[in-house]
Amino acid sequence: MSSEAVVVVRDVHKTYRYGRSYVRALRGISLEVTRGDIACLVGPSGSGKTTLLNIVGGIDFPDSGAVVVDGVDLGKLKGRELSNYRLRKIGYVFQFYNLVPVLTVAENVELPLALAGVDKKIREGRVRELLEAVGLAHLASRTPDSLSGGEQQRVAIARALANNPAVVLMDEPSASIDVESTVKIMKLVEKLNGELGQTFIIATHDVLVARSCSKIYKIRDGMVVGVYSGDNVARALLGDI
Amino acid sequence: MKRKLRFGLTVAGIAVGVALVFSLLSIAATAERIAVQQFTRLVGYDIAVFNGSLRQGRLQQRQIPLGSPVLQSPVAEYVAEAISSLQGVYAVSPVITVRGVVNGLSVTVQGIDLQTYVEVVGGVNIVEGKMFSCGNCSEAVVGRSLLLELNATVGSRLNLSIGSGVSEVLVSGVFETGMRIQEMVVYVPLDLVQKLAGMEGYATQILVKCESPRVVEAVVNSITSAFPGLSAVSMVAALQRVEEAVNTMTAFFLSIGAVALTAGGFGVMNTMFMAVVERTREIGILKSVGATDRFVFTLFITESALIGFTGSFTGLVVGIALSRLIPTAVVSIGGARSPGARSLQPPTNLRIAELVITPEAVSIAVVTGIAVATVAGLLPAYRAARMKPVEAVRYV
Repeated sequence: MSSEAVVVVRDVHKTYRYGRSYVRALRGISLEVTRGDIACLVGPSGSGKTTLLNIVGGIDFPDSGAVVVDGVDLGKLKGRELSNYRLRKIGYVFQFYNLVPVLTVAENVELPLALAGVDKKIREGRVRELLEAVGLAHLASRTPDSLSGGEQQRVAIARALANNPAVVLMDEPSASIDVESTVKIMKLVEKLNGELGQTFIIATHDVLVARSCSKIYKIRDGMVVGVYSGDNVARALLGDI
Repeated sequence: MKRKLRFGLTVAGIAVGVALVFSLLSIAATAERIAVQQFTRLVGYDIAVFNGSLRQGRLQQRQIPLGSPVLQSPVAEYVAEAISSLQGVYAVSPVITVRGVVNGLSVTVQGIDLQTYVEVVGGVNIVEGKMFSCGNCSEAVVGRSLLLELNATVGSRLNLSIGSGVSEVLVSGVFETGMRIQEMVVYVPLDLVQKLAGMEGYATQILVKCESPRVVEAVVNSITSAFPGLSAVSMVAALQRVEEAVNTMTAFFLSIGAVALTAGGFGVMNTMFMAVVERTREIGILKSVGATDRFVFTLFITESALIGFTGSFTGLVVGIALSRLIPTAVVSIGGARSPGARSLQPPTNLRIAELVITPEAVSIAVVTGIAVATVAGLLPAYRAARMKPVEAVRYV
């Protein structure tokens, strides 16, 4: 493992069973994400991007292979340790935001802090800071259903950043929002990456999203078929993603 | 809105169970108090001695002719004298209880020996007038309720007939007990009743007062040994039997309440299962942002307990109302169905009874309500806690 690698995925296999049929979502995928990267998993629907994100996020488990995030071997985690891993090491921005509908914007952002047992006063300050960072401080008392898709996405990012995670995972961030909102979201991601050095792993098949990435992993049929960084990112974007 | 309605209905389910348990327990406690109060008011004596043939139907028919006003087989009056000489006996008093007719109204007539009755029972609570002045005069002390029925007052003259014997008696006094059933009685001198009923030298019961409550059982044994044909019933034992009867009633009531609460519990379980299904995605979100299984479990079990808590306290309030309403309603229905126009008024003993709210009834009802709801929520909460986050967040 490279000294800078924050996420190491090695030879991970995952097969889903649907009734009598089996779908091999990941077929021995391996990759390394360096701390401070905006890494994009690029590939068509069904290529295994979301499965990989779920495994790295600790909400799904590989059939075989190893995943190490910020020095934590996920294969060794169970129960409370796994919950703690999700709470402190990972920030997850789901495709459909997955905000808790009965909580306000501020409460949604506060949720991981409360689960981590952070003191109420510190929580309030942190929530304010996060909402200001994503430009939604004025909507703190609103409920998610009164926000636009882009705004909900930003709340989800703020929630993901709450406990200073090692990695923020984003699943198809542009899937449910318009182009303008996508551009804003990716500018926010770049800003957070630039200012905080926050590592992002983004699953997408949208060029608009992928062009913000510092590294691109092309995924086909559950395997990495190409890795692009630096000038090669543009080449990858011009290619067949 | 749908959730609130479901929450409300589930709370109502628990509330009904708790209300039922509480009201039935309170009614049982009230009934017990009334029974004990009536009993202790009725009996100032320790032992009642009567003819054992009372319990033998065929023998009773032979001794008491059909249509006789005498309700019990007689006991010779000299037995009272013999009992008074037994060790541990403080005083004895022979009494006769018969059915009689006063101004056309069928009533219970008690013939008492003034001097010994006061010693054994402690007298009669006369609120107007006075006790009859002699042992064989034609005077009567009448219960307040009966006097009102008869539309008479102190100083009125009443026609008293017992069987074929008829006499005119002067109302010398009025007594009260606070209970209508006890006030539908006429006290007259023992000699007068013996004469009218043709029972000279006999009584229907001999009441015994002991020197101390500790010797009651010994005196009962002495009486039954000395007079094998007689039955001697200790009032302590009788009171225990009353309490046993009340306990049986309480257990029966509790089982009814338990059935209602169980139904309420299933309601909570159903609601919580629905809540878990509806909130699957929410559970998935919580778990994927780091909530532990225990946190999710606690979240749902707390909600169940909250339903139980709200239901229990709502039920308690409803239960108090029910406890006041049920006896009145039952008495009203009972009164309307009573045969005989003159007895249509509901008896006062239940209506005037003050509701007994015991801490036990409150705690049993509330704790059971909360416990039932919490236990009912265990399985749904466990299911929520065990949900796999990756499947839960995908749930639509």
